[in-house]
Amino acid sequence: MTNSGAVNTAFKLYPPWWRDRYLKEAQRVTEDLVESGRTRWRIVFNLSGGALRARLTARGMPMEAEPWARRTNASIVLATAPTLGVIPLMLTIRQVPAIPGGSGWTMPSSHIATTLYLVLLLAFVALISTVIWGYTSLSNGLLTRGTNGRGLRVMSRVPGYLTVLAVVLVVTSIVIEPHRLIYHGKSSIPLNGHPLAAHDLWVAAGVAICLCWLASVVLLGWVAHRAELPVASLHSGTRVSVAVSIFLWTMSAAALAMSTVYSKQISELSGIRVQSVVLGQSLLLLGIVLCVLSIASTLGSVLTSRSWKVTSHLAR
Amino acid sequence: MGLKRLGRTQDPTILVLTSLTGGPKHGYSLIQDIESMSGVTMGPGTLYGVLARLEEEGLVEALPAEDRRRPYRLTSLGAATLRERLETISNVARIGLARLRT
Repeated sequence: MTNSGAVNTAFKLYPPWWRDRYLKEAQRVTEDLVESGRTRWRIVFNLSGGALRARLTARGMPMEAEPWARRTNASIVLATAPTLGVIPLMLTIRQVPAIPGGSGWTMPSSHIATTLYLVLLLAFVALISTVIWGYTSLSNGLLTRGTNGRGLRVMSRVPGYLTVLAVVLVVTSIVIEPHRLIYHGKSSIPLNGHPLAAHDLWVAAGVAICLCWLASVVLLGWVAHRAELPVASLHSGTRVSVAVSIFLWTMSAAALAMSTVYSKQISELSGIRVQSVVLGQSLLLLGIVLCVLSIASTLGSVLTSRSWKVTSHLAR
Repeated sequence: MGLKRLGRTQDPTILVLTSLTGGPKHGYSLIQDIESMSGVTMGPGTLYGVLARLEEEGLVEALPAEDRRRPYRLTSLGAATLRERLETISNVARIGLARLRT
């Protein structure tokens, strides 16, 4: 009797080194178990748990430089990939909920909330800066290894070029947008610049950033599977992983604290009760999502540190 | 109080090593032997996780495969480690049973 699709799929969850070593005999065992009356779903469940443990612990993995370097690659990707989730998430929040007040618009935020928002933004900027630094090291590492395919080497440059393009488009848009306006009744008329072209450039910059984001996802996926990186790049990646986890936890804590501040602010600002509740809930949701991303990143950085120790030892 | 409430009392590592004291066994016969010996139904994911760890630590070694069935046997280090562990468990069990009687 041969194994079902679900059982074979569960075997595919195991890392390649495990499949090379144990797959044939484990398949035989599952065939014998099914013949003896063991239910397939129990086997699949047990194999899935085993695959997760094999990936996390790497117990029994051969002490060879190449598989351990690949494991370090994949762990760095796991630790840094949550950043790609944070970028769109951060675009969804603003501290200014646009509440109409007595004169003009007011912000229902206390000094504490403003400070926390600043912490959140600073941690975000530090996170992005760290990732850009890590990306530069990754890109250089990919280019120095001749064994990496041409596609991967070209791909390593794409997010960087797209970022530069987006910056150029934004700067050009700022330069050509109208600097002087004349107010005529309810509408304003530009006296100089090219408002339509400036708007189009903004849109183009947004598209470039979105493409950069997608290219980064593809690049990270590629790196996790087939890239070969020099030891120096892996070492940088290990440090980047730890830094990313720390910044993500800082952002999570700031978002959750802001959520608490806004939820306590309701009684003080009864006129904007609804908006404060919505903002508090949004920040709570943001904090929870950031916590999940931080846990994934921390797991990745712990695995990276362990893998890096073995990889550097084997590389000597 | 049911036995389940006491938590995990059956260490799969000890079970695999103990099963191998009866001679080399392949995966399926290990599972069968462990079930008859302790009542524990071990899955292939758990078994190969344990075998990988024991092989890495040099406590068991794999023998040549026959028709995709690869037997494993206890090494001398594995036997010594198991003896030491079982003596500790036996000592704890003896003291516990004696105290329960009084």
